[in-house]
Amino acid sequence: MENSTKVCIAIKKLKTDAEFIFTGDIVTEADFNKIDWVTGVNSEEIAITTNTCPHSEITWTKFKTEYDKL
Amino acid sequence: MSKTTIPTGGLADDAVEATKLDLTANYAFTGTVSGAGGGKLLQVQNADFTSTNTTVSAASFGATEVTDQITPSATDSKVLVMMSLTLGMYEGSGTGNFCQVAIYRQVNGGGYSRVSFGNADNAYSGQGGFGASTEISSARPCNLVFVDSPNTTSAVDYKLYIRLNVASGGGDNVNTGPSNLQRSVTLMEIGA
Repeated sequence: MENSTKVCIAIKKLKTDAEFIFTGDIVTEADFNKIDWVTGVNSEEIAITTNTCPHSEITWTKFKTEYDKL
Repeated sequence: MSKTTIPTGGLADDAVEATKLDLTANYAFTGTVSGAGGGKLLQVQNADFTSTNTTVSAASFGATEVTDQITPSATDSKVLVMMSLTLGMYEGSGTGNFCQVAIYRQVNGGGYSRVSFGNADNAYSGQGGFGASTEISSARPCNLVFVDSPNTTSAVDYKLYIRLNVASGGGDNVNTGPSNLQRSVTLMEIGA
């Protein structure tokens, strides 16, 4: 299974409706902190994002735990 | 008597016709041919990507790494935009995978706006009809061709954006394909 798929599965297990965008593999906490979390959408239908995760259910530690189960 | 030079006035306007000028022959021009009319290919830009890919798990469009830049030499030039890649899609537990793609343009760093809808103005492309709670991993070739009239001589960026049909359960993520699968962008400036 590709890293990107495992990342999505792990995040969705923590919060089903979380929306996010990322580039490359998420392997380290530094990678995790580069995930673009979607907080809205602009007039061009482009996602408005932040690198600060807005979901309390999702942290690097919780993510890593779920990721390592896959 | 052989002649090596014929003055312009020495030939009537209709003196050289197709029967005398072999139109099927090949002629090698060593100078510049101007005033020929019709479109002219002025420049080609190309970018290939074979490493880092982009994954989007959102109902709104996310920017990808599939992008290239061209600076038109004239405001009335057209730009032929071609993008080619294989989209990867994943659904952990559902009935289908559906996504949308679109080409966005940015002029002189002024922010991106959508110029080619791809399939983003109507249906979502993908696979459906699976039984409930099915895990689906699929790949879908994606080729976009678009002729733009940017009306500028500033730098123009073209970038692929992708998104999911999350609202109807159409997938968990869409990405720009496995990192070892080539994605490419080709931009051609065509003179007026």
